[in-house]
Amino acid sequence: MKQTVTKNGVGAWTERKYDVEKAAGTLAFTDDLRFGPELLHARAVRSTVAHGEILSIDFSEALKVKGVVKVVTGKDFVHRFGLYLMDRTPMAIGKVRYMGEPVALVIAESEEAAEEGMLKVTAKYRELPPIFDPVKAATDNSVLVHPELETYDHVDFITPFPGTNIGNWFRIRRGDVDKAFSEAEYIVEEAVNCPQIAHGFLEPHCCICREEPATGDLTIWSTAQSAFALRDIVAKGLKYPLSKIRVIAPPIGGGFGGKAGMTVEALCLAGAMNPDVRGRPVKLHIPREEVLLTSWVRQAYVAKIKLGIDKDGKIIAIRNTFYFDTGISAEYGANPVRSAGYSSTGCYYIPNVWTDSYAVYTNKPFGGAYRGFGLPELMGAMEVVIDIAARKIGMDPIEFRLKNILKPGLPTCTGMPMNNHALDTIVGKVVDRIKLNEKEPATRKGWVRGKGFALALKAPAMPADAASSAIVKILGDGTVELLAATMDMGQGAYTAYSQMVSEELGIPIEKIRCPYPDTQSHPYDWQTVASRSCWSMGMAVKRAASDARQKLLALYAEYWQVEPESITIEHGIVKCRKKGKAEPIDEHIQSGFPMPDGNYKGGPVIGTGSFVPPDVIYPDAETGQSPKSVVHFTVGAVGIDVEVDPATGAVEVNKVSAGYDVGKAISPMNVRGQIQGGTVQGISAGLMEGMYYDEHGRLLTPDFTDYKIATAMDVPPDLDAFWEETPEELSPYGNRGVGEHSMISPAPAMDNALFDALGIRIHSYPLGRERVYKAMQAKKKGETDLWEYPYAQEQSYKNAIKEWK
Amino acid sequence: MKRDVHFILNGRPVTFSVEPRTTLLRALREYGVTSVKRGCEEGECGTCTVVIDDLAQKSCMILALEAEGKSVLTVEGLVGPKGELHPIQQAFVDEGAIQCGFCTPGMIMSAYAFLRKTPDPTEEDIRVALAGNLCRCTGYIPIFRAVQKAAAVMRELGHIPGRAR
Amino acid sequence: MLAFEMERPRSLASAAELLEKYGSRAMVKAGGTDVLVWMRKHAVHPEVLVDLSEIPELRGISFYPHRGIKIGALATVNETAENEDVKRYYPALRDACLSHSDILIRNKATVLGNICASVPSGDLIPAFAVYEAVLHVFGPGGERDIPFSDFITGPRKNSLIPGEIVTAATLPLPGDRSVGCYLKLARRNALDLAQVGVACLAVEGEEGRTYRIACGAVAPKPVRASEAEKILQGAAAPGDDLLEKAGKAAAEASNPITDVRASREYRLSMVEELTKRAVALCAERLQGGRAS
Repeated sequence: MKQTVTKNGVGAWTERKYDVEKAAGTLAFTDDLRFGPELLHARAVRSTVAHGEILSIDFSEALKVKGVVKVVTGKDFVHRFGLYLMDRTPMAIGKVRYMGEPVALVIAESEEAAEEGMLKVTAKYRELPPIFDPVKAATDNSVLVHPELETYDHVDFITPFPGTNIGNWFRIRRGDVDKAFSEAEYIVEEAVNCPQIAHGFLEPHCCICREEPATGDLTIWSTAQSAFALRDIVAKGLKYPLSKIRVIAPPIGGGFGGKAGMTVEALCLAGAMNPDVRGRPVKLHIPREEVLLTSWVRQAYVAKIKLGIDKDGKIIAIRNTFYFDTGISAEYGANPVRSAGYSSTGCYYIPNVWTDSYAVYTNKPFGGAYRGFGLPELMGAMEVVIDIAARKIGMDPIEFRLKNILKPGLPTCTGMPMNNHALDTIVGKVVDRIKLNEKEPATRKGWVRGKGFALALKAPAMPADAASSAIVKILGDGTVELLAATMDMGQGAYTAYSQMVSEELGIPIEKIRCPYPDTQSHPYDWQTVASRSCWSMGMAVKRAASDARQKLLALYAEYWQVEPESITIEHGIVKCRKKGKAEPIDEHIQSGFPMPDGNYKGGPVIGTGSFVPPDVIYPDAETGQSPKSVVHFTVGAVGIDVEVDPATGAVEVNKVSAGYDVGKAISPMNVRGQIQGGTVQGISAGLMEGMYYDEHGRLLTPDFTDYKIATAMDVPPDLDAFWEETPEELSPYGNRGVGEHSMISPAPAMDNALFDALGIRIHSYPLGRERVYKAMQAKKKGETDLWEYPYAQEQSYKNAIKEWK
Repeated sequence: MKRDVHFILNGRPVTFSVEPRTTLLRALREYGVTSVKRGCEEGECGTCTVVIDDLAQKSCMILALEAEGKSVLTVEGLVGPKGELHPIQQAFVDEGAIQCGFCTPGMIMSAYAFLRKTPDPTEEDIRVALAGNLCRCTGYIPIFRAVQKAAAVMRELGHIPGRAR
Repeated sequence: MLAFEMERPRSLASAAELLEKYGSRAMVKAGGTDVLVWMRKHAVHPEVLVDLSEIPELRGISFYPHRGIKIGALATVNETAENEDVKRYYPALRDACLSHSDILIRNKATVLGNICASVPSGDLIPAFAVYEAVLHVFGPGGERDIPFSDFITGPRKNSLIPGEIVTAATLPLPGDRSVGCYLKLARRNALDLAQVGVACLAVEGEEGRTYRIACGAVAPKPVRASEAEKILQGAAAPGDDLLEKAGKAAAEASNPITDVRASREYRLSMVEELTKRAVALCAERLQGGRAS
């Protein structure tokens, strides 16, 4: 019998936590925190060459600026950091590896003085030949971005190759692809590329660090998705005990992976820990145009996929080669490479698999976590190649997909059996809702219309030992404090957890509070990434709340002298109908109950819960096989209906339908929010986003002036977001992750829609107006494909355009 | 060389002492009005939007000294004396139009100035009015709903363009 | 931003005095939406910013029937777009205003600021070209007028001499009846610099039907596509053939660069396309009686 009753438990549409403060403008983000006049401000001085030895850094003029307190350079802070591979230093030491890399940090009494000081630092370099093209960098070792690669520590499941530019190489070897290819009726071999893209969160990175001069303890306030991961990374880099570092994570203004791990904090620490500075807090606020030069971008990629298909349309073999351009650091970028690798048969069952997924170093800003984590890259190619293959063999693209689909129980590319899912249902609904099979005329005069489809899937990409824990405290007035170190960056985690606690404790959701993470008070959680939180932290929260409930029931049972099973908690009132009892939770829950024997028993009720995925085994380094390589997959599909203006290449989206099997929607309003938001982000990326460089490696799109993202005028008028619920076995309530998934497949769906509309296949993202126009011109000349390799690095952008002719 | 600037901030007269280069954005934040955000400081994102004499403007493009004699409104000024949210703020909460919350104050101020001029907008009107406010989280769709809902509530309550609140 | 002093003169005379006093150490500001961004990016560092926004004679928009409209230096882009006479008599100007940035920036940016910035992609520039605006200038030498065709001399360069301030612009009424439009192509639907912008007028005047076409963002200076205009002279309902020729002529007159926003080739193709559309739209509107 369920012993709790609540209005806003799991599955309810409920007001979100902290929305009122956000609307009132009073929720304090990191940049809003106030310190006294002792606060110092830092600004980075940046490299003006893409690859070079630092000959000198002259900051004598900077020190003369009124208000400048100190200038530190790389040599003053020699520490290496990294989540999976320790290849990162906050400032360049001896050598710069990308244009814009911090080479010095100016610390001053005001932001303005720091800015003035920054402008007065001059550095001289001896330029080295740079390498920008990841395909070239992967195969040509004449220019090495990290000649000392063998000296970097790394986790076991990442394999860098010293003497090359390969930061990680993930392999799948299953069956015999060569034999299968030789037996295949059809061979399809295609490539797709995509430049780096940016997260585009509205809040730039901001960090304040302070070293306590007497003890050396560090306090870090930062725009971090993962307070504990940040602490771990800093501790390892500095070789400090964990307890010496406290991380406080205020609410962040959007993450999307761009604030995962450690971003700018080490750079700030370089200032705060300097002997001439320490004791005073140092604030590092990254101006928008420096965001992409200081922290993550999404890796660019070139993906080659070869399929072998039998005469019945079954895919019998796949060979994948993925080059991920990870810029100068693979410390985090090594993992999307794995994530794509161990998902590299996509949503399909393919018996023979050969995958090589590489993280390649180049002299550019570095790649890291980005919503989708290797899957937008994989599916950006896979779902296009699948579409091409279907048409090549003369089969309907949906039929082809369904014929090969990874049904529950069939092995994924790592050999792990696929979990239960309702992908068939989702496909049917999407096809139906955008009338995929109906050829409809364009609604805009003179335009052409097309429809496209793509599948999506992803598993949480995390180490096998990514752990979560939570503490539930019931206060003396029946309210609850939940300590769960997930960062609620808008996805609604605290709302979902409050619903879970409400479900387990029968306490109304308004009485449940969830403070933002502080490593000093919260118990450990690995990271807020990977769409893992409602699942992994959800398990911990459920256990903690259940633990608190058991304790509460046991106390009341003894207090009332009844069986615990006869007690219920309903909307915060503890009841025993048998005995006619109904009391609100009060100070007894804190101070103890006066028991029949006259003694006080109880004391504050605290529930605790921990969780770590119990059965994940890392894929074998050679074959990529494992009986359980990931915890589960969330699957889905996207259908897009677009129109194209043949005269300009402008693309407008008429309608999108996007559905995902979430297992259980804990917080439907937030599930809907994730699907809508991620779909728009995916469309924006697919249609207009890309980072471009000139021939010297200078980023031409550092800020919103030239890195364009979707505005209110770019949103499709009709966006159908839905979900299915096939329960996940190991899960708090049957739920799986959904945060990232909607970002994964809008781009390939659009590419497929454009093929439907135009009859020419575009192999390069983004599908911007000029590119679409070019494609149409090419089609007029009888071309069937448009391939634009964005890495015209060795030539100037101007020269690259000459390819048009 | 610092100079004084006098203006009305959320209904109260204030005097700031600022350098000429200090933008209104930075001056407001320095004073503690932190709802006005630093998203880009170059006029591209809208997180710094305030309403000055009924016109929604990006405060990063305004020097603090230019506020002399004007009336500046931010979301803190929309909250009532008993903590009641303005209908626009409430509509954002009700419709799930908020995720991370960073674009929210600016978005609400744009919507506020817009609805006072256009009390019965079409969806197209709303898209144009909010085109200067970026949001990366929500995909804008619930924001459009929230503005429509707020418009309806304001019409019902008799919020007349030009009148306070 | 680096430090500067700011003066807020209350008369033109004192503004001019200040500019003379400080010479090249000073820059002028009206709305400030360009200047502030340039300063923030360290592209310019004036020691003194002379803020014109307190000078009453620079405000306002006045319409003089049979003569034209006079737009003050401080008239914002939104004020101009919402002005009844602009809506009625200067539709290409209105279109240009509404295509500029976004509604928030338009509440601060000024029409004349956009012109004086003289950036090739400036949205107001093609409109000023087709309306054959006259800029009124106040400076150390007194007052003078500059016809718009003489004003912009290159990217970010114009024929103002140091110390001069543009106080207003007069756009004469084109002919007896006219319609106009401004078409802009950008990478997305809102808040973007023009990859190509074409302003077009169709005018019924003494010489019969004439067209005026100006193209922006496709050359160091605004392009008045006079060959295209010649081709279209007199055509009340230009057919596809004529439009095609006019488009090509406009492209011939253009000399765009390749940058991160668009390639030269795309710009050339789009100038052709936008010219065709703009002319067709104007011809249609004039036929349909939607004229001033």
